[in-house]
Amino acid sequence: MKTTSEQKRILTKAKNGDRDAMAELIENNRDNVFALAYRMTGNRDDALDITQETFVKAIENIRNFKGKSTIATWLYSIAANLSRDYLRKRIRRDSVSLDEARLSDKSDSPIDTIDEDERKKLVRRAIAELPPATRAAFVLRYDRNLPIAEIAGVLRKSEGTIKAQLFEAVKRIRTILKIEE
Amino acid sequence: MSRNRLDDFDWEKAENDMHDILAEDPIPELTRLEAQTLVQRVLGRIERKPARHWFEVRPAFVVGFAAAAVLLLVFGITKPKKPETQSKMEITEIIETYENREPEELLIDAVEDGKVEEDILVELLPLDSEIAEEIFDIYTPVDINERIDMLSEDEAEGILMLLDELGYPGKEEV
Repeated sequence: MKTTSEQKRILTKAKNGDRDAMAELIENNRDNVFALAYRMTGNRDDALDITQETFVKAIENIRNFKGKSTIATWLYSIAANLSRDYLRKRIRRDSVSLDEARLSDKSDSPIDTIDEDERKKLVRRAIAELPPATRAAFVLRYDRNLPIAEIAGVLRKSEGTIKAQLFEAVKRIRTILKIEE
Repeated sequence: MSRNRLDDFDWEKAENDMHDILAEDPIPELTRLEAQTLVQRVLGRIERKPARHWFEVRPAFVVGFAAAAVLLLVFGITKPKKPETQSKMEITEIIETYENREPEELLIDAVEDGKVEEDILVELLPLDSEIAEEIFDIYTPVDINERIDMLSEDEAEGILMLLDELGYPGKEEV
């Protein structure tokens, strides 16, 4: 993890068009952005596309970044928005196939009674059942470990809304995976 | 949702449960090649962009220009019956009116007939309730004209016909 002063140095250089600094910015943050996109989409190739788009958009707009949040938070915000746009389009496009892909096959099995591969699929499908905005809050909290206040900033919602979304998400995931409260 | 339900909720247990669940499906690591390709592609795309104009880096100008352009696009400057300025609320109402006309069927037909690409329609035309919030992000004449310019004659004709159906001014009127 880079120190704040190192990050500021990279950011200043990137704002001035320094290609090496831009590359460093991508390298320092790519894993976080990819992880968010992967959890949002459940698909490696789509996550890679969203990661690329996030950095293109970020670098194009880097002069507008005022440093009120960390660069990581800013990138999460761009990646979350791109992921949500992607999901909305996919839901419209694939509504039939997504419906078919839902939990019909393993819905009777609690998660701890099935094998590892099936458990992976089941987790991915359970997350896929969450609406895009709720999914973003869920991933940022439980996968990326952001505090609720920071998630509220990333998703431009109130902390109360984020808490309510997390409550619903946890409830839904527990129901889908048949986990007791 | 009542505040009590949220306050009584065992957040710590939820946290532990959700971490356990996510641990079942670890995030794959990017390969060295994927990481290198990512940097090259991003920098390559940035490089290929044309030089930015001075007004593009002045956010206040851009916001003002975009807002004015959206209003011109949506209501059309050549239509005397339309007022010259419109509020965001009025734009939203128009979108709602359009939604009430169940445009999905119209659009699905158009896609099935091969008149327009689905991706472009999704970008241009509102199909969900969140569109009202995002209208200023999506509807700019620059977006629409750029996209129309990328289409073939037939596709452009199809999309202009749809925009006309929905009450938007055609490209030549923008």
